[in-house]
Amino acid sequence: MRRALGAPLLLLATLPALAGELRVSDARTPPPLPGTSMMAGYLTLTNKGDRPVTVTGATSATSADFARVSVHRSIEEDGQSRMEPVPELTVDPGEQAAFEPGGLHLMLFEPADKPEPGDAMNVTLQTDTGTLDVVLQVIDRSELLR
Amino acid sequence: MPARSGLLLASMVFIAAAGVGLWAGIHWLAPTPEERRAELQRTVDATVLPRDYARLPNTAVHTAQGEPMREALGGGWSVLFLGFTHCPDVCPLTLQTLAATMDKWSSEEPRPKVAFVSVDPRRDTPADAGAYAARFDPEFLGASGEMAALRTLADRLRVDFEVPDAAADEQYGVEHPSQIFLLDPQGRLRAVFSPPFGPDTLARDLRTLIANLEPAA
Repeated sequence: MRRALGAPLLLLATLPALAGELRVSDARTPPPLPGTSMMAGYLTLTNKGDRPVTVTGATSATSADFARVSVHRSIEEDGQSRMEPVPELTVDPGEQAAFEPGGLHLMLFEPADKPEPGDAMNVTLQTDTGTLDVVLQVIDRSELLR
Repeated sequence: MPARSGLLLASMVFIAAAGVGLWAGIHWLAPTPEERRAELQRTVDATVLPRDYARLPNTAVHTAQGEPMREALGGGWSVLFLGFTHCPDVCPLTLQTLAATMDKWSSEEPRPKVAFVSVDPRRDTPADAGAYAARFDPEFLGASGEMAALRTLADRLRVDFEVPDAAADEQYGVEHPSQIFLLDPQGRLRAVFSPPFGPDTLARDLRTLIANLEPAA
């Protein structure tokens, strides 16, 4: 009986957990700049479902591609630029959240390897309903301005 | 003879009056520097500064090559941006936009110099700032200096920055000015651009300003 129970449980564990109907597209990151150990990840989240989904965090624990990942927003106010963490980001049904240069972005700390254009880096978004795997394509920096 | 001298006097008075009239015409009808500035202001998406321009201070902010920044930028128009190298989003975006802007200058045209100044001297040396800036365009200069020198520079540009009290190996963020500064060949602040920046608008406005702002005014 124990054995019979083990297989379905294992199967359940390897299935990607569902993060509502949140879809990720256009996930990309330019390589790190000289002397720095952090990168910024950009993507678009689309809520295809009928209830709001809230992103509550980000991690790279599974792939270990980064030491730490967090959701940040760049803010421009009174001529000053600063960044602040975004502990919760809610995407309403039918809506999108665009992570774009100069705004929302994933802070990707200490990449494990030296990423180059063409590589893929894996991170996971945590939401109020589960997790969402994100494959970031490493792109040439000039492709960011489109 | 009295008739002649009378005529001479009349001519002299006439010439003097014409001179005064001409001078007055130029003086009153020609646009004043302030009117020219206001006119220019209408054509560009930047703040064109009025007279009493702030000049780059002669403080110890050095380029990666060890040259004082004021000297490195002198003699031609230049563009300045203040940030830090551990800035993953806004600084790369601004420098990438500036690189795309400068690509619009042909190799024959004199193009403004571009300098990136790190206001995070705890983590960035001038060489760090230089390597970072050159990644966007090999011609871009990087500079930094002691905190006090950077503070003097920011004060002169009438902007602010804030480096948190954290160890160099902590992943801290720095609050820095978001603007791009245009300096004339004398190193004086003439115009300020505010985000969002686009290469087309930036290139157009930089050309307009450089062509129309009088370097000696």
